[in-house]
This record gives sequence, structure tokens and C-alpha cells, in this order.
Amino acid sequence: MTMKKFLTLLCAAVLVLAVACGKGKEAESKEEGEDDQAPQTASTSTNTSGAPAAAPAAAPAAVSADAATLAGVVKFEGAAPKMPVIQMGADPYCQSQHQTPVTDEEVVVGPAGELANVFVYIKNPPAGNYPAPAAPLTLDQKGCRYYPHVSALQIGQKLAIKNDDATLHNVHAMPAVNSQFNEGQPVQGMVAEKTLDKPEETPFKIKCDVHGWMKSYMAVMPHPFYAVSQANGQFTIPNLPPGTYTVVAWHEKYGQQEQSITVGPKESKQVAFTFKG
Amino acid sequence: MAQKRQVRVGSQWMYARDAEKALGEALRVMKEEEGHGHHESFVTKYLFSQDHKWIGVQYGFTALCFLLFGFFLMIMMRLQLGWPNQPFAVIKWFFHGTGTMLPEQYNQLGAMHGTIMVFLAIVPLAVGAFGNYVVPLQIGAPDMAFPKLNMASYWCYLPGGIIMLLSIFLLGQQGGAAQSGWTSYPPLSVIASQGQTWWLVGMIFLITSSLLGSVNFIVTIIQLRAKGMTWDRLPFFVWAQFVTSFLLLLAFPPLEAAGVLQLMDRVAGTSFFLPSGLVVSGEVLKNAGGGNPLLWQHLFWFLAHPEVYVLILPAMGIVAEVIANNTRKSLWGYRSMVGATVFLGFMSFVVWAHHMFMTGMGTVISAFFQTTTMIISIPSVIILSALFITLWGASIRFTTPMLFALAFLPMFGIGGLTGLPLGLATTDIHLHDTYYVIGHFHYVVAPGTIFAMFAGIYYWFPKVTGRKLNDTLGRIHFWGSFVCINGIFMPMFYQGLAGVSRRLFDGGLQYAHAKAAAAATNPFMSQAAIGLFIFQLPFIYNFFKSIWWGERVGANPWQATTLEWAAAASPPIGHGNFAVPPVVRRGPYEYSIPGAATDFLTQIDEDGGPALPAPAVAPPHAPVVA
Repeated sequence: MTMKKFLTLLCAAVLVLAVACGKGKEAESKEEGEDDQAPQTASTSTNTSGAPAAAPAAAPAAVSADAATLAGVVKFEGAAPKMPVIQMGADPYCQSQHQTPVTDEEVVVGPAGELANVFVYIKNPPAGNYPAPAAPLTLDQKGCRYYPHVSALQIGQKLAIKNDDATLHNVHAMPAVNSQFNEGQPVQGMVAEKTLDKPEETPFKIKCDVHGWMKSYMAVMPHPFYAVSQANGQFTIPNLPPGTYTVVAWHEKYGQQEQSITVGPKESKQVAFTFKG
Repeated sequence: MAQKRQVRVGSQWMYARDAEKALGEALRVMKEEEGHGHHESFVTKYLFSQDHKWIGVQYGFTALCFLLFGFFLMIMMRLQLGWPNQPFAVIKWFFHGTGTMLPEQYNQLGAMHGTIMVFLAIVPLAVGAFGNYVVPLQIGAPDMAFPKLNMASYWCYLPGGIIMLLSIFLLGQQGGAAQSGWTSYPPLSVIASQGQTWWLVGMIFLITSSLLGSVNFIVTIIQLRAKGMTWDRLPFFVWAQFVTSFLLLLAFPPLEAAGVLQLMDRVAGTSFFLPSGLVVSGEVLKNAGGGNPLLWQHLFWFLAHPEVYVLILPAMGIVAEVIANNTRKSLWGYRSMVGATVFLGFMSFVVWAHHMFMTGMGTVISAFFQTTTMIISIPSVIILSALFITLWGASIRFTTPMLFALAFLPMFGIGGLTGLPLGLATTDIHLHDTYYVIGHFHYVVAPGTIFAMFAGIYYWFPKVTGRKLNDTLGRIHFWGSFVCINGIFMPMFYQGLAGVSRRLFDGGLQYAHAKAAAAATNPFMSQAAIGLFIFQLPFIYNFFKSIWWGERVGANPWQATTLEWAAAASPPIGHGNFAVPPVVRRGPYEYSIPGAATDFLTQIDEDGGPALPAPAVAPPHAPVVA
């Protein structure tokens, strides 16, 4: 066989290879499609007060007629620490989005000592199968801040991370159990959809490396019995079957506390947590 | 009467009737040998070939594919830089995203473009392809000294390349190719996504391949030169390859070691390059600590600066061959050029830290490396000046390879001279990591080395295939590429001086000081890049068309003097290259000798004139007739 003949053959082989690779690509795109496509449905909007309720969507399959509701309030004792004003001058866009100075959200205390952004969950949930909510949890980047500041989603629930700013953000999630990711969002309106598939009850940090002040915390729960305290310090965990539970309250600065509670059928149980400064 | 005409068989002229008999005998012997197990299978002949020529072709074809792929990655980067954040169908197809390029995707393209172009395209093309194919032919050797090692070299290179390619298609949240630049500086590279691990494994294969190749070249050039091929009769191309091989042999092992260390940092929890208390994204990293990121930079640049000369020396060798041939003159200052090349080789090992002026090495060390950097520019200038002086007064044949070779001279000149301000610490402070640097080294490597590679392809294509590349298409390819490539790289000097940093996914639009310069030039540069792509199409078409349907040529269509043209057919015979071992009688560039019958005397010619006229049409397998 001459070299020329072989080159003909080689080209044919390359063509075959190219076709084979092409098929591989299609398969890939199927897998990846779920990851990368922007969600078409509008997700729950977040309020801008800094403490939206990340109330879990109802899980109808698990709700019994006897279900109780756990509600409560988180208080802060002592003088509330003064949060520093965020210097946004490094990115003129961020600065232009705020008329008044913006303070750090590490400790958000209300006028009567209500503590916001405390993640409350049941440590020993009742046995059962809890389907994930269909609606994705939306983490919004607006005015170079994250909304909500603390949130949680259920395993299997989609996480939609949205950039509402006309500047580059990168979403750097630093979970200890789930896979880390670090993704840039250069264009306003971009949405990245992620799936976190392992339970991670202690919230992990999500931050933007472009704007160092942007921080958010997120937990991944195997059940729907969790809530985040709002600006008035209140939280509600509905649809809880009767039983004895350990309730955990976690705060990014003050750590976590536990309480044991027992709820009866259809009971509306109150529980209070107090963090000391 | 027909039987009375003489034909050449091997090195002998004989009557056609005798030749027919001899041919018949030769065919019988060949058949007999095939019957006794001397037949080579498809796999041993074409896949795991030990013939330096076929390995050269394998290297060349693979490297050209990578060159095209690296170029394609660059086109995607230029789309993003020219029109930031605009969606493009090709980006959507490649990344399966929305079509808008994400910053981390741009980083992947940047890292892979650099790696592919340097380690998978140009070095394999310059050394693996041209070196393998041409060096044994030019020194009159039947093959490389270690054919199996040669085969192993290619088969380390290919897996290395495939690993690099596959890393691009890694899926998942930690997916994608390496993103830490072709320099892979830690600590960033150690904490980067998993593509970096693949990069390191790929690099270890590629370095191994280069090491195997370099040993082979050195031994071949020292041991297998034909009778009479003394050191001062070696073509300049062989000298260039010889020095290049020493650079590969001595510079690559530190990077191989460094690559293994970084791999250990990533997968085995070591901290060779990670300092204690390293803070990543506001968190203290839980690592063993005690390492030093600067160690990597030293090890990397200890390779990568000699690597620059690995890229440029074979290019200079090719250009020298093409210029001597097309000026019909002996190279001016051949011995100075050889001396300069050897000196360049030595000096290239003591300049590496001029890449690191910004690391705060201290003024004494900086002064040392500034001095050596200024010194190393001298041999480059000697070589370039010698080539320019060779042109002086010559009646130049403007063939396609000559056009590329001529373009190499000013392009490399621009690349080299713009390097001087980078070699001085004071000016480097302003220019470091800006587009000025990108412009500088691309002038050396793209319109410099790659143009020389094209000169080589147009020049040696007839030797490999027995056919010529089309000249008109070649000229379109040259002029289009020449204009467009300057359109891409010339504005980079302006951008760099204006302070536009490299490796920015949007070309610098986020920076107030860089915004204006980037916005003013980037769209034009990207248009030039697309133009450059369009002007490669005539070459690709020409390349494949000419393999089968190109104009047939004889053994020595360029009327060249060196052995590959003078003593071997086109293409040369399968094993052994030469029907009769050539005997060298003169220097490599004896053109326009006063009193000679022709305007050139090949290296095998007798003093009075050509020993034998070159055959008109080379037999595909000229049998040896004793």
C-alpha cells in the first residue's frame, strides 16, 4: 500500500471518528441540558427586606390530618452588634444601585431584639418519603447582594441562581458534603440551575469572589421540616406529625442551639430560641 | 531503439533492457522475502511504524489537526473578546450553554489554546514531524538511531493529546478543561477543577514523548551521519534540531518533576506548592502547608524559556534551508550562525527568571537575569542578520515557501525586539501580564514559527508525497494570512501599553482604564482572526487535493543541494531511505559556484559537476541492483 492510499484510508477513519464523536456529543447534551438550561418558570420572588421566609413547599403526600404546626420566634439578647457599612466603590454599578448605605447582614436584629436569618430545622424528622417541591429555590443577586441571605432547599429541588445585576457575579458555593461549584454570570438576567443531591444540614457559604461582601448561606435538607427566621424573628414549620423532636436553630455567627419538643395531634406548638451577643 | 535508452536504477545507469531484467529479479526477490515473513502488516507499517518518515508523517498530521483545533479555540475566544457576552451558535454548540461565554469557559479556552498550540501543535510539528522526516534524510542516515524509541515517542504524544482533548468534555460541576492558563501557576492550579488533573497527566505523557525523541535525535545526529558528512557540512536545519534536542533533553525533566509534584498536591494531599495558612475565597485552606508557589514558577520557566527556543530554532532552521535554496546563495556566515545557535542553546538555560520580575526576587537576581536576557538577544540577532544578508544581491525565487520564509524574518524581528522591554525589570513592571506580552510572544510564535512551519510544509511536501502544493492557492494562503495575522497581533501592543491585562474574559471592559482601548480595537482584531481562518481554507483544500492530484515532481524539484533532495527519491524508498548510502563531498549550500556546469552542486556531487543527473521521475520503490 502506498502512502497515498493510506492517507485516503486515514481520512476515512477520521471521518468515521468524527461521526462517532458527534453521537457522543448528542448524548452529552441530553445529560447537560438539564444542568444548563435556564428555568422557564418564574420562581418565587424574594422580598428585599433581607429576611424572606424560605418556607418549604407543602409535601402533600406526607401531610396527615393530625399534623401539628411548630412556630416560634428567635430573639437576640444583649446589645446588637453594629454591622459595618459595605464599601461598594470597587464596582460603580453596585454603588449606583443603593441610595443609602448598605450594612453587612451577618447579624440582623429587629427593634425588639428579634433575630433574623436563623435557620431552624428538625434534626430527627419523622420517617417518611418527602417529595421535593417542584418549584425551584431562587437565589437572587440584586444590587450586589444575595436574596435570601439564608435559605434551604430539599434534596432534589432545583436551585436557580439568578443575576439581576448588569455586572459580573460569580457564584462560588463552598459546601462540605455536596460538590463545590464556581460559576460566572456575566450577563444581566442569567440563570444558572443547580442540583444539590446530598443532605447538608449545616448551611454552607455561597459567595461572590468579585464582590467580597456578598455572602449567602444554604442548607440541603432531606425533609421539608425547616424554616428561616424572618425580620420579625418568627418562623413556622407546618405539617409536622405528632411526636418528639430535636429542633436546631443555627446562626452564621452565634452557632447553633438545640431544644427537645413534643407536639400532639393538630397542636400549634410555640418554641423560642435566644442567642446571646 | 527503445532498448538503447538509459535509465537510472538506484545509483546506476543502465540500458532499458538490462534494467528490465534487473527489475524482474528484484521483484522476484521481494516476493520471496514477503513469503518468508518479511511482509509488514498494516498495523506495523502504518500504525506502529518504526520508519522515521512515517512517524514524521504521523506527527505532522496529528500536529496539524491540533494546530487547527487550537486555532478554533482561539476563534471562540476572539468572538467573545470582539463582541463580549453576545451569544454565538458555535459557543452554544461547543459548551452546550446559552451561547454566551462564561468567564470560566473563557479560562478553559485560554489554558487549552496555549497548551495545545505549544505542546501539541508546534513542538510536535517542528521537532516530531520536520525533525523526524528531514534530519535522517539530510544527514544521509537510513533511519533514526532507535526506531522503537521513535515509535514510543509518538505513542506517548498521541495519548497525551487525547487526554488533553478529553478533559474539555468533562461533565459535572467540577467539569471542563484546565482553567489555570498554560503556565498552571499554583496555588490557583492546585485548587482548580478536575480538568487540571487531566492536564497534568497529559503533560507527563507529552514530556515523556519529547524526552524519548530528543535522545533519539542526539544519537542519530552524532552517530548516523553519512560518510563525509562532517560537522561543518551539516545543513543548518540539522544544527538547529541538534541544539533543540539538547534543550528538550535538559529542560523538560524539571517540568516533568514539577508536574508530578503538582499532581501529588492535587490528588495525594501534599503541599509542595501550597503555603501554610492559604486563604481561598475567604476561607483558610485545610492543607499540609509549608510549600512554595514560587517553586513551581522556577521549575516551569526553567523549562518554558528553553521551550521558546525549542519553538524558534527549528523554525530558523527551516527558514535557512528555504532562503539558501531560493536565493541560490550559500548562507552568509554559516559558521557564525551555527556558533550563535549553540550559544543560544546554552544561554537559554540562564534567562528563565525574566518571566518572574514581578515576584519580588530582589534587585540582584533581577539584574542578573536582565543581563543574561540582553545577552541572549545577540545570537538571535546574529542568525537573523545572517539570513537578511544572505538575501543581499540575490536573484530571489519568490516561491510559496520563500514567501513564508521571507515573512518570518520581519515578523520574528518584531517579536524579538518587542521582547527587550519585557526583559528589563523597570519596563516590565508596566507591561507585565498585559496584551503587550501576548503580542510579543505571538509575533515570535505565530507569524514567526508557524509561518516557518508553513514554509517547511510547502518546501518538503514534494519530498513526502512526490507532488507539489498548488502555487496559486499557496500565494492566496500566504498573503491573506500575512495581512490578517498582523491585524490580530499588532493592536495588542497598543492595548498592552494602554494597560489592558491579559486573561480577561471580556477583554478588559470591566476596567475603567482599559475600557476605551479594548473597545476600540477588539472588534477589528476579531474580524482579522476570522479573516485568518478563512485564508486557511485554501491551504486545507490545497493540502488534501495535492496529496492525490497535485502536480507530480521529480526527486529534486527545487534544485536543492542537501541530501534529502540530492540522494533520495520523492518519496524516499521505504526502509533505508537511500538506494546507495550517500557519500558527502561538500558543504550544504554550494549554489552559484563559478565555473560549475549547473548553478548548484549537491552534497554528493563530484568536484567537476553532478555525479549523476537527478532522476526525472522517482521510482516508488527503486530496487537496489548491485
